Amino acid sequence: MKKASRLMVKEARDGYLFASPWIIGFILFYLGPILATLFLSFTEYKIPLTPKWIGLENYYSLFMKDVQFKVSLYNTAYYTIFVVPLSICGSLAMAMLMNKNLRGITVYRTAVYLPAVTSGVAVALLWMWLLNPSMGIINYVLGKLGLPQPLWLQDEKWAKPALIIMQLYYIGGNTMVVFLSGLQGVPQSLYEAAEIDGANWWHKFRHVTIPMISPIILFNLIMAVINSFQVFTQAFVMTQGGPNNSTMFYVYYLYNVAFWWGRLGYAAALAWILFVIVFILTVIQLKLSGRWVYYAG
Amino acid sequence: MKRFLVLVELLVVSVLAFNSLAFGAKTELTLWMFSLTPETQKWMQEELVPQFEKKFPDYTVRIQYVPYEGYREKIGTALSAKTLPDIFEEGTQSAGWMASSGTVIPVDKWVKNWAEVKDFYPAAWKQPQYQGRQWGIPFYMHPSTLLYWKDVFKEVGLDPNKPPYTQEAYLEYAKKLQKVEENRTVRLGAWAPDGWRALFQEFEVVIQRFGGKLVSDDYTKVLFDGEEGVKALSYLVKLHQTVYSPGVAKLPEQTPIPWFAQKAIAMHFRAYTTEVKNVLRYNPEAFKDLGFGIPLRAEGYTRKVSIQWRNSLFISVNCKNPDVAIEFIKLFVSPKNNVKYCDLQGYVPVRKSALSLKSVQESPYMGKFMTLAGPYGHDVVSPPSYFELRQKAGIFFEEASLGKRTVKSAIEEAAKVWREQLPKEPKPVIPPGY
Repeated sequence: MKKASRLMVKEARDGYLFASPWIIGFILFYLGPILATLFLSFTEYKIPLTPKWIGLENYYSLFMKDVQFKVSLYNTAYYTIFVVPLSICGSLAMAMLMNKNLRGITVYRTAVYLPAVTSGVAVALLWMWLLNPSMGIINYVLGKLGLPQPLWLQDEKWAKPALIIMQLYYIGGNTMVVFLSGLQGVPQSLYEAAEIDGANWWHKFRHVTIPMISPIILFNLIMAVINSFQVFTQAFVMTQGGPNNSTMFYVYYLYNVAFWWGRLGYAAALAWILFVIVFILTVIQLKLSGRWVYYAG
Repeated sequence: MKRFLVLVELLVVSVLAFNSLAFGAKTELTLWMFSLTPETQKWMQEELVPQFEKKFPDYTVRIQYVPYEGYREKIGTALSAKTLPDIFEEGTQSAGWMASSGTVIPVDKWVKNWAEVKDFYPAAWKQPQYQGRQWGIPFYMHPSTLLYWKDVFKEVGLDPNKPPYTQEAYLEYAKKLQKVEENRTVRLGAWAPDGWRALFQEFEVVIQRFGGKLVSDDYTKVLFDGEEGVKALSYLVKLHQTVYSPGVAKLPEQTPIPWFAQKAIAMHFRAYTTEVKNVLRYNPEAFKDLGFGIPLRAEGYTRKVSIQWRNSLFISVNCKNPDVAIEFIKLFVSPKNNVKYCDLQGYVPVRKSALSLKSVQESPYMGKFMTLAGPYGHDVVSPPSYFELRQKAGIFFEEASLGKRTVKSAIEEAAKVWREQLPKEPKPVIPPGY
């Protein structure tokens, strides 16, 4: 008994030793800064002055006085409402296409995945050209079809929709890969049984595929909401929050507050509000998942 | 094992000995600068630093070249962590931020009796001043003046030798020069500020043309909510609405050839040396059509003024040898070195005497910009929260430019933001002994 417990102690020690680089890294570079930002969010901390405790003033200012905070929250929510369904449905459709047993399918999969490994800045620059009202291919095609040609990023009404459409570019990315792995895990026997019962394509999709991959949908949904609340690169590279604040997204505003205005306390409060929003949305999704997610195990 | 330990000891001792032999004799002076081209870095390393080390053989200079994109984050972090280098570069509106940070030292005592101060363009020299103290030494100007295309003037019936001298004439010319086809801007008649940032920046300039100011010299009173402010913003809004009509597509992205160089902009009151360099690079045959104007003034007023960026070198409180650091800066801004640096970077020297240097006279633009634009740089206002105040106020100006708010209400709202913030601004921190 004594020998066994010594072995267990040794094993535990070794385990912690092996995990220690991660544990130390987590404490120093994640947990520490996270807790520090919580403290800082209750301070007036203007680089490089010493933080001064001001209680809830930052939060009060954000909710009661800061117009740009509300605008950025609205813009981000608007973006999320459209981007999340687009990203989930688009990626699922793409994954289903990539799940076909075709010749050379691995080449297609690689090609479709390429946008995910392309630099966000490069993609943003590419889309600036595509969306160009005078010379962009999108307006060219719209013109040929006799449809109105919006000014896209130059028009405050169209700037957000333009960035939402741009998200189509990423439907072959990580979300699709996760869906693809889920689709490949659906037992073939279920489809065969459905076929014997006379199920058509839609029935199989609705009553076999969707329930079987529902945990994957939940995972992708949560990740998509988190990611869309963190939209930054497009605003940073393509619009700088304009025109007229129409693409001033939450994280871009936070970046401005922190690094242009040097108000780290205020930026920390913004970060914590974002965390709370995303946390609440995630909890809601998890709570609701009981109604529609099917765990086969 | 013993042998191994002896070997390790020997290795450690030799490394330490080598270090002290190689570096111990020299004191290091550290410098951070941003946006330097590889040619400039080469010149600094191979010519400037050796010049300094020849004068100060006990010192060596270690330069860190920081990309502009990450510079602000880097400076901010270093300010907080008190790990600034001995000398560092900062931008046009940074004096207030630096002065109130407690991390830089004022340089008055070294420049008070420095005869060469008179050789600096006054507008440049004033840039790093805040609340009556000199916090840094300017080392380049990026002035702007009016540039235009003579052939385009001719095309629309304007006299190619008579560019506009007033901002009102600029607006009238713009209407004639503007070219729109099928709801697309084919040629911008005149450059105009667009978006909150540029609108506020130009507001700072235009209000000075009307004899106004943003704030009082002691930064206690907001002054831009008077008649001059309303006139300035009204002008900018009118100009904006003239060249950026609603529903008309703006010029396509300016790549690969910049707009002005491809004659897509007929006239530009905020044209820098960069525009001339671009013409020479992308459209050299067109150089003969390029017209140089002067910074604009307002009708009925005499002050010519245009936007001008000026960066300065600051000395941090971490610097153990500020006497030597200042000598490095003085060497860096000596006319010959200043011209070389500006030539490599595409800027304009801060020293008036540089005009007599051959390289300046031979340059297709440097001398011109020094004469035409150098003396007319706008007065810089740099409260510590400048960037926050600019953005918050600029947003109201953008709304006015889009017709969503009246000029008067935009001015009132912007002034309210500045009035609330100014009393809260931190005071300059002067380290003991300065």
